[in-house]
Parts: sequence; C-alpha cells; structure tokens
Amino acid sequence: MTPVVLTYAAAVIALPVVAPSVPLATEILIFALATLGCHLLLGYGGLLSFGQGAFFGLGAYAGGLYALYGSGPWGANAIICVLGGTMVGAVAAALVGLVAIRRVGAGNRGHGGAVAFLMLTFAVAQVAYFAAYNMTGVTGGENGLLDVPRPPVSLGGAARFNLDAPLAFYAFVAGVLMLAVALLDRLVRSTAGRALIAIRENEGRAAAVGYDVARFRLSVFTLSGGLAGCAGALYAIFLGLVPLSAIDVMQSERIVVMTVLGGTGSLIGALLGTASFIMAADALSNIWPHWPLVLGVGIVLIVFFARGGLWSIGAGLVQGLAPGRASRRGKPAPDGTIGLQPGARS
Amino acid sequence: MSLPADMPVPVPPPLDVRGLTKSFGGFRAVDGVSLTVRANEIHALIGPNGAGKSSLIGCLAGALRADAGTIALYGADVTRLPLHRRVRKGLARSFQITSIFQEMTVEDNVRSAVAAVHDWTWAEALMPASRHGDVNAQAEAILARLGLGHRRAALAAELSHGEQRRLELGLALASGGSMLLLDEPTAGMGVDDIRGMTALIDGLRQTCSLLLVEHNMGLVLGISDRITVLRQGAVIASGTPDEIRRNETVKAAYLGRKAGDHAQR
Repeated sequence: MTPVVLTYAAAVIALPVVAPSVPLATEILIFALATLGCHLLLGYGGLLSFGQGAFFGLGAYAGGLYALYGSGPWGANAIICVLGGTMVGAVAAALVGLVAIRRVGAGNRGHGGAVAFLMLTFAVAQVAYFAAYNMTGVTGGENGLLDVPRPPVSLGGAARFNLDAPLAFYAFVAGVLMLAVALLDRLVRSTAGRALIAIRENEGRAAAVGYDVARFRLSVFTLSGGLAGCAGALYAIFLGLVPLSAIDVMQSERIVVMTVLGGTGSLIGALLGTASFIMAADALSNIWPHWPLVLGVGIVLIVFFARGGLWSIGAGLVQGLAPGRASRRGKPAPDGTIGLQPGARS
Repeated sequence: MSLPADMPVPVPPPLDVRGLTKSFGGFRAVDGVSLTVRANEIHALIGPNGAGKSSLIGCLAGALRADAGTIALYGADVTRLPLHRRVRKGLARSFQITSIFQEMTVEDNVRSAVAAVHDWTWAEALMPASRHGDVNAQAEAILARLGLGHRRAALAAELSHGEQRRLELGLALASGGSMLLLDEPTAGMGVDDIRGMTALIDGLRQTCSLLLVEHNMGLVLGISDRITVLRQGAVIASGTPDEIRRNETVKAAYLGRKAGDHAQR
C-alpha cells in the first residue's frame, strides 16, 4: 500500500461520515473517477481535454441502456454495467484520439498541437451533446433516459448483492474507485509511468531518445476516456436516470475544473478537487443561485497564485511545517510558479 | 550469391546521405547535400551560421522531414522513418540547445533514455521502475563514463552548464546507438569543460561513428578524421583536416569570415 492508495482508502471510509449525506459522498467518488482520468491526461499526458464529458455521457447512456434493456445471463449485473460504460468511453476516446493526437505531433515545439487537441475534443463534446439531444429514441432527448433500474452485483449467474440501499451502493462505487486508484498508482510508478513523465517534461527529447510519443498519448487518452465512461455508467444507476446534462459541455468543464482545482502533482489532487468542488457546490447552491461565480473566482485565484492546485497548497503547508530541507514532491506547474514551495528555483 | 570467397563483402557505411534537400517556404536550408560517415570516424560538419547545419541534423535525426534525397543508416533506407524508430536503428542525437528532463534527477534522465529503446512486454512496462536492474546498471555505466556519478541524485536543472552539456551527450549515448549526431556539444562551455568534453568525444570513436557539428575550430581540426563544409545549405568541400585547411574555397567562404562570424554569435 502506497501513501496515495492509503489516503484514498482513508477518504473513502471517512466520506460518508464527513459529507452531508451518503448520496453526496457517492457523487464525489463517481466524479473522482472521471477527474482521475482527466488528471492522468493533463498531468502525465500533458494534454487538456474538453471532451471528457462526452465520454462520461456515452458511458452513462451505455450503462443506462444496459440496465434498462439488458437481460439473460449477461443482464442485470452492476459489474457488467460498469465494465460496459468503461469500454464505451475507452473506445470512443481511442477513436477521437486517433484523429486528435496526430494533430499534436511528436517533437513539435510550441503549443499549437495541444491547442488543436483541446479544440478538437471541445468539438467532440458539442457533437456528442447534439447527437444525444436529437436521438430521442435512444437517449430520451431533452427528457433524458428515465426509470433506469439499479442492477445488483451478480456473481456466477446469481444476484449476490443488492445495491438499492445508499450505503450498499456507496460501498460498490468505493470498490470501483479503489481498484482504479490502485491500478493508476501502479501505472505512474512503473517504467511506462516514468516514460509519461519524461514525455511531459520534454516531449522533443523524449521522442529523440526513442519514445513513441503519440502512442503513449493515445494510450493515456484511451484510459482517461475509459475512466470517464466508468464514472458515467455509475452515475446512470446512481441517479436512476440519464439527464441530457450528463453529456453537455458543462459536464466536460466540470471535470476540467475539478482536475485543475485539485492539481496534477499527485493522484490525491483528483480527490481533493472533486470533493471540494462538489461539497462547495452543494453548500453554496442552497444559499445563492449564482454560486458558480464564487467557484469561478476560486479557479482564477488558483491559476494565478497556486498553479499546482489544492494539492500543492497542502503539500506546501506540510513542507513548511516539516523541519529541514523537504524533498520536492510531484511536478511544479509548467512555469514553476508554486510560490509555496521553499527553495523554489527562479 | 556468387561473390568470390576472397572478395570482401562491402559493409554499408553507418550513414550515407544522398542529395538531401529541405526548404522552409522559399528558402532552401539544405540544398542537395551528400555525405558519408564511415565506421568509427569522427566526421565534422562546419560552416558559417545559417549554413544549414542544424537543419541537416534535424533531417537526419527525423525531427524534420526532408523534401528530397535519401538517408541510409547501415544500408537501410530511413528517409521516411519517424525519429523514434530511427533511434531504435542505432541513430542517436544530442541537441545544440540543452534538451534534458529538467525536473528529473540525473539518474532518472539517463534511465528514461535507456528504457526508451528496450523492448518491453506490457507486464514489464507496468512493473515499478525501480525493479529493472538491467536498465539501472546501464544507466550507472553511462553516468560513470560522463563523470556524473556523484551527481546522480541531483535534479538536472541544478547541474552546472558544463554538467548539463555532458548529460545532454549522455542521453544520446543512453540509447545505445552507434551512429551519433552531435550538434555543438561544447556550446557555451568554458575552456576546462571543453577539454574534458573533447576527450569524451574522442573516446567515443572506439564504439561509435560520429557526425559532429562544431564551431570550435581547434577542436574540429584536432579530433576529426574528415570534415565537410556547408555554405548556404550546400556542400562546398569535404576532406581531411589538412585538405580543408588548404582549400581555397573554404578559406574564402568560411575561415576568412571567421572574425565576422564570431561577432554575430
């Protein structure tokens, strides 16, 4: 067990108690999955995608349709529902990536390619939204996909665990999240993860020492789409419906905001960003209908003063308190503007 | 094949370039360049600023796509191969402007470069990086060769300029390639550092063939086996250091303008 996995485990246990309600805690874990995907893509792939909402939405529709119409030995199983959503998100991201990643190019200097990627994924999010809006027969259009049942966890052909109780479903989502975190934590510490860090640090040099930059990026993008799709499927059976808002552009923005808010220095940032965003949204929306304004200001402050997000603020505080020369953790913002780190270079 | 037994089989040269051309808009940066790097030789590429040396290196390494001409690596045509595939065929480069993984340790810099050309299975690639002893051992050997062993735990960004230039060369060596393209390895180095770097490059001849872009004439004339001179993208002379020193075209085009050339830099 690494510190990252332990932190997630502790948070997963504490959240139902700390959060105002179990469903809110569940929502945090579901979105943490999508944020982890975006986190991986931004922090390790060096790519910002505004299309994660499309993969989330596709996963949600896939999961919802499966729960509604799936039957026979492969029907009515929460595990298959989640795996299906993951697959749909991953395949969609791979297809988009085949076109969009090429635009980024390998060894190119400047950010032209990354901007092209961002715009292409944004376009994909728009297309996905309008497709869902128009395909009323499949998605329910503006009304959404209604009356989605919550399938039980089935093993060996028989329903074993009923997920209707809020805490039971929370435990299921927590299991999925912990599995994802354990896999991602292993990935980022592996040889392949080191390669991703090298590509993020200096893409031109990474290509020049022999890394196939485009292939690594496509893999990360596929993985991030899979995580978004997985979250989407969980969201569908969590709500019992798939609202059209599951696939709108706001959904993509929300995932990006949660990622940036948390920071990409550590996988823990994804959890910090998601939890603080959803809890703040929950608290503020009861007080003031224009609450996103507050979040907007918060994001601006983060971008200007703490590019590493909440994670770097937390790490900075810990480092400041620790005696002696603290080791550097994670990656500073691209321009190195983490003013909170002692001994930050000029 | 029915070659006579006593006739030596011709071994293709490490690098054979024929009629290479590269234009940017209407400007021909590389204009029909042909040159051959023989096995275990240090082949210097010189020419005034803007002669097309770095563009040529870019085309050879694969960062730029040539408009015309062919590049053969050990007899195999690599003209259309993307750069990361050329590395696996034994072609490695260093950059004129230091290009290292600044926020990684010196050790991880070299390890990443060594790992890049390994053929990993999925299971191996997903194993913790610390468990790959062979990669770490290779990286260690390269660090020792560079004289950077004592700095292994330092961040690359914290190294002195001279040390960074050595790491830059080390990343090229780490791929295990035997055809090296070195773009001004001594750029910006102090006198003492240049001496060490020259010895390092001279020693590489044992295992590698080198194409060396260099402005330092003392170094070029001292360690090169052959020299090719570029001007305005085209080869104007090629030969041993003595031949180049005596060549009238080169004197007029390059050496004569050396003072002005340095003023530009």
